[in-house]
Amino acid sequence: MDQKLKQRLLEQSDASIGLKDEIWGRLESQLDATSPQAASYKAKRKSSKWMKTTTGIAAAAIALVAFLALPPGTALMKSVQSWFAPEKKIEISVEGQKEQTNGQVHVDEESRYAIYYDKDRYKLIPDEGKDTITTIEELPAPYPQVSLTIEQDVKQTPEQLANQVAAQLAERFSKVDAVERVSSPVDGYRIHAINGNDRLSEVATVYVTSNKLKGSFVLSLEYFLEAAEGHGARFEQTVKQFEVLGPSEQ
Amino acid sequence: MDQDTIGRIVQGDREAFRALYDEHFEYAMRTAMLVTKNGEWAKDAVQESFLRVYRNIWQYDRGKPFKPWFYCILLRECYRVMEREKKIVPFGEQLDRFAVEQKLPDTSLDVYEALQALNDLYRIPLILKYLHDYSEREIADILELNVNTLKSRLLKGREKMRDILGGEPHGSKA
Repeated sequence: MDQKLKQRLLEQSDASIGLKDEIWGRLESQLDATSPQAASYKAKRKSSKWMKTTTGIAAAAIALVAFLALPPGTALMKSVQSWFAPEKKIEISVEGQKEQTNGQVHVDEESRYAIYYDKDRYKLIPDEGKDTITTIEELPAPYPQVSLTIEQDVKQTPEQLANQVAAQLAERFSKVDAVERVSSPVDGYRIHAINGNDRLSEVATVYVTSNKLKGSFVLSLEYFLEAAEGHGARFEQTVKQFEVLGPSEQ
Repeated sequence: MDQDTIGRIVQGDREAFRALYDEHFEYAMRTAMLVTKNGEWAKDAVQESFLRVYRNIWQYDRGKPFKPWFYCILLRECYRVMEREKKIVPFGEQLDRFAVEQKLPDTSLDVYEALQALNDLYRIPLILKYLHDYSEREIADILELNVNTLKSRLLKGREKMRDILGGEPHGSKA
């Protein structure tokens, strides 16, 4: 039967191989517009520009560290930052295999939380009231973008918020599982939702945990079905690194 | 694909690129045809894939086999074309072109139709396995999957084909 399937695949794709010269003709006219060296040069220039920008950011960061080290008046920021190593190796398990990633700390003084994320794969984009961790480069079409978003709701407890999140997901997703009480990767509630069962179907997993006051943090993982064992698993491991700092002692 | 040919393509040698095209065209076209199930889409995907190879050959790691790198590009192009076309094809025609996975046995279907009725999650690994005789390691590299995940998909894919065909056996499950 294996042989029969192979035979049928060859038969069904036979018609296509006579198109070799036609496609080469179409292709060749486009080759003139570019060359591998030109593409390489362009990319290297882009990379060099990126290096300059990064160097600038690094210089700014060093200046900031130096600034923080000097005046005693900024002790709070300095002290909170110093609780966390700027970078650390994090062992994670993806698709049953262990690997080490380079974790980069992000301390949000205002929202009072800290998290380590894989700086080689992801970037953190702070926006009004929320931080989003997403891939450094956008995923190519047709893949949906993947992200881990961290938001705080200072007014509602995790219990109140979890059901509200489930109702909001039900508006976007065809299947929303019941709210589940969990102790890992955070102590709180988990809501899982999915839109179909194709490889590109959107998936959301939301964790709601206490902000150690009267409110909650909402950590929303969004990815697609085929990425469940890749980005999905990596975001789950990132959520394990999430730490609520508790109220400021200022 | 020998390293010398790759080196010459990096330098912009058109003849070396034609040699690469000649070597890989047939199975690239067959794969695209089976994955997209549409001749025109397959042509677009193959043309764009070779163009990408030409432009980005300097990014290819010569210490690794060429085929997984190439087929990664080809499959992405197939998906891209399929997604693009899905957006402009009238809904009724979409239903004809994108088979819904069969739940009930249908004895009128043959093994090819049963395979094409599967979800892409199972259909594409099976196409790579049976069309190319690739090893599980090679298919896992092409699809950027863990080998165990790939094995599980091949196994489930075969089981689903058996269900569609009404219990007909499909060779080894390994």
